[in-house]
Amino acid sequence: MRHSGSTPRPRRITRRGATFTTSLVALSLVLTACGGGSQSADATSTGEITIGLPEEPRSLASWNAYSNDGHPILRNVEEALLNRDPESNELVGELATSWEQVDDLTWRFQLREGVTFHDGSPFDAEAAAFGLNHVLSEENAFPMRTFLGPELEARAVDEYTLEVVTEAPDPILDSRLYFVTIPSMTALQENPDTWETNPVGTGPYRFAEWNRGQNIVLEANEDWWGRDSADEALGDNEDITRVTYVFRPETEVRASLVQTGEAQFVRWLNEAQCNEAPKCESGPGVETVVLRLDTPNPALADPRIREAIALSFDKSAIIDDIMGGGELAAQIVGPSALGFNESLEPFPFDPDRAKELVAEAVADGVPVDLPLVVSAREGFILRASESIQLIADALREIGLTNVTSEMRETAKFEEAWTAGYDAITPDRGLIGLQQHGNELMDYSGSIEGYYSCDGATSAYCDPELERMYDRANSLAGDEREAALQEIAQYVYDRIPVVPIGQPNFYFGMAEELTWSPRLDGFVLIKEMELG
Amino acid sequence: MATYALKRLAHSLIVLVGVLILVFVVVDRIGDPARLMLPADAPRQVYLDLRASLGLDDPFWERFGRTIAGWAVGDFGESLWQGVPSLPLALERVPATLFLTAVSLAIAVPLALLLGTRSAIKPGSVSDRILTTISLAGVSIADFWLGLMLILVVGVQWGLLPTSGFGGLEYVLLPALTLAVRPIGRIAQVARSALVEEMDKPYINTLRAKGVPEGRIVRRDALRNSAIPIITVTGDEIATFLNGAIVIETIFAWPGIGSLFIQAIERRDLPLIEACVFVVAIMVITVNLLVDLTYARLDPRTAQPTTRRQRRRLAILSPRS
Repeated sequence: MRHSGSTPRPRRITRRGATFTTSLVALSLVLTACGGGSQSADATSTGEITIGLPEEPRSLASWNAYSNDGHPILRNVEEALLNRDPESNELVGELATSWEQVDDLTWRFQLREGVTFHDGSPFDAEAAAFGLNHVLSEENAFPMRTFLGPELEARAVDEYTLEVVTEAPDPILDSRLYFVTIPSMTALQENPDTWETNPVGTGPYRFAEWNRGQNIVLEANEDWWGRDSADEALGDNEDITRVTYVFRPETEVRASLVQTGEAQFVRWLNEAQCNEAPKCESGPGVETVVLRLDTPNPALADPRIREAIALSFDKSAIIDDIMGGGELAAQIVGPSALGFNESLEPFPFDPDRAKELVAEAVADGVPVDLPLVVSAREGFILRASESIQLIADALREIGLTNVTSEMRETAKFEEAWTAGYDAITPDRGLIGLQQHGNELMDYSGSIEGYYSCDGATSAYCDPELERMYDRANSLAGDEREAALQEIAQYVYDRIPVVPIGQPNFYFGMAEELTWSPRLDGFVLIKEMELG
Repeated sequence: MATYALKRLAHSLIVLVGVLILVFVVVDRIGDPARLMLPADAPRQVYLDLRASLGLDDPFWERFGRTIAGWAVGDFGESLWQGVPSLPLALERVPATLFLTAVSLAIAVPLALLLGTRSAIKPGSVSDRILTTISLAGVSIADFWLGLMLILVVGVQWGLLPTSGFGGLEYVLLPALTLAVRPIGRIAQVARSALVEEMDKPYINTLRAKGVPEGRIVRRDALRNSAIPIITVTGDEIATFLNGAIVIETIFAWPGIGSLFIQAIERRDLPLIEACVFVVAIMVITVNLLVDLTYARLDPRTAQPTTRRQRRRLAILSPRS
């Protein structure tokens, strides 16, 4: 009975069998037919390159031009008033041709003439003022404001003269504005809805398409002003005519992109992967890994304990073995920053001396058994959990008996990290591992943040240092640099923050591509050469 | 049948709304997107301004009310990070996920049935033990490891297929193969045990006594009668795929819903998380419904008899009623 009711059944099973056979055959056909699935088309002849990045930009709005996810794309589409010379690292004009500080609060920029945005609208002082005010306005609260000092307002003086007025004196306004790209005023006014997805700038490459989750494509801008004045443009857009950005979060997969020729440039590999690539370039960025000590804590308030901490652990084990290579540091900024003091040596690894210092402090009644916690933010510094364990072990070893280590969720960590000196209670005892970026390439920003009494990320307060800092900021040129270097020496002797080192960044490249990493980490296509 | 499907659907929708509310409350508690959006040393005031501009400072009930009101009209709000509506962001990832799922199944199901049947026909034999080992290995191998190995061997060393990315059939093969391994193991195991059990039943002996060839018994009768557990486990695997093959999509940079989902979670992007949950849930509900309907088709005892014809069929099929 059951059988009679199921006449179609055998047929169906046969069909399944057929599907199976077909799919096997199809699979094997495809597998064999796909030989050469890797794109090995010669980039030199086509002028097309593919770049592999670790993450897709969250937004292509102009304000995101500072960030690691945004700038490799945006900085090629939009330009800023100023750039840095890739070799000397000096500020040079980009959309401005010259600039000067007129008085304490006013800066004047002479703008480049004959520049047009990709939408055809002209670049002039009015457009520049509108763009800057939009990106930096308090009302919009874009994350770009992290790099803003005192509030500012930009205004057009005449067609090609722009004035920027700050609320309070800002000696490094030019370093800040080098970060801020200028979007098209017309695009912003007429199509505000495409602000996040369709960047319109003046740069060497224009935005072509964004297939979310897959790629972003740029094409060379044939009307770029740099084609007529190549020496001022510091690059060209004629060899490379089309750039496709793809996103591969997994480092191993990014490395394989450049090995198979699927990409000509990939950002951020580890040292071993980079050496496997046809070509490898590396260099330090503007990031320094630091260990900040809560100086209001009775144990950490003692300079001997702070020095002992600085000597207690092996910094090269962290920078070279755990983080994959880099330079040890004696200061929380690197050689790229104005105010870098090259006479300072990184703290050596000397646990014996550290033990002696702790013993001296104990003899004077310093409570070295207070609870201290070595902590880092989750998912930020490479292999931070291993580094904080290493440091905590070293600290227990030298006699700080009650040290623990703990990875913290971002918000929880940042809440503690940016509480401000006044809010740190003596019982807190946070020893925080963090990566400090000196994107502005001026030591003063780092002093303000990490050492001043009301710094955003400061756990230290010293009236003498405040005086030195105010004095440095009232100076200019070489005198200012010398005053900043003096501060570097001052904090080196007191160690509220232990500088650890600057990790290297590694870039894998195709044989036919030539490019050198910049100190600011920017990936500018105009600086790449094909062939 | 229609009533049955509607009942299931209504039940699923209630669960879905419950899940969305739960996700809202949990994500609201576990982290702060504004902190993640800013550079590490951002000043406190910049952080406070950003929170305010994202509307994160509004009281919980106000945000909750706004969100629920949005759901009612199919609006999940703008992604906090990407600044564009989140439901379209999630929906545009669906085709890639469906494509990957379909190809994985096309590889897994036939292979699993072949493996399972072969080892069930002669339980305990050497070939059974070999096949069991293979299918167990399929269940045990970590998929991210297998994915990376396939990239290194097939993509880099042999240069046969692209290492990652999205495009034609050549791009889907490596992620689909990686994903297929576990279901091959699971489905083969289930098929094997169901078949072994079925082959012990008296009617099989009757068929043998009647002289029906063994192969035909397996194909025509035993396999057919063990379809329910096989379909259950296959449906389960499909649901897992649709849930986003998170790890595999991320490794292969496959633009499916899984890679978007994990990114939204990492960034605490609540509107986008909710949109992903919604889209995934709808897909899973659909699959479960289809599986249920297939049961009902294969074995009418599982569905409520609603027509005279069905009642008659049921009476024939199960003598106890």
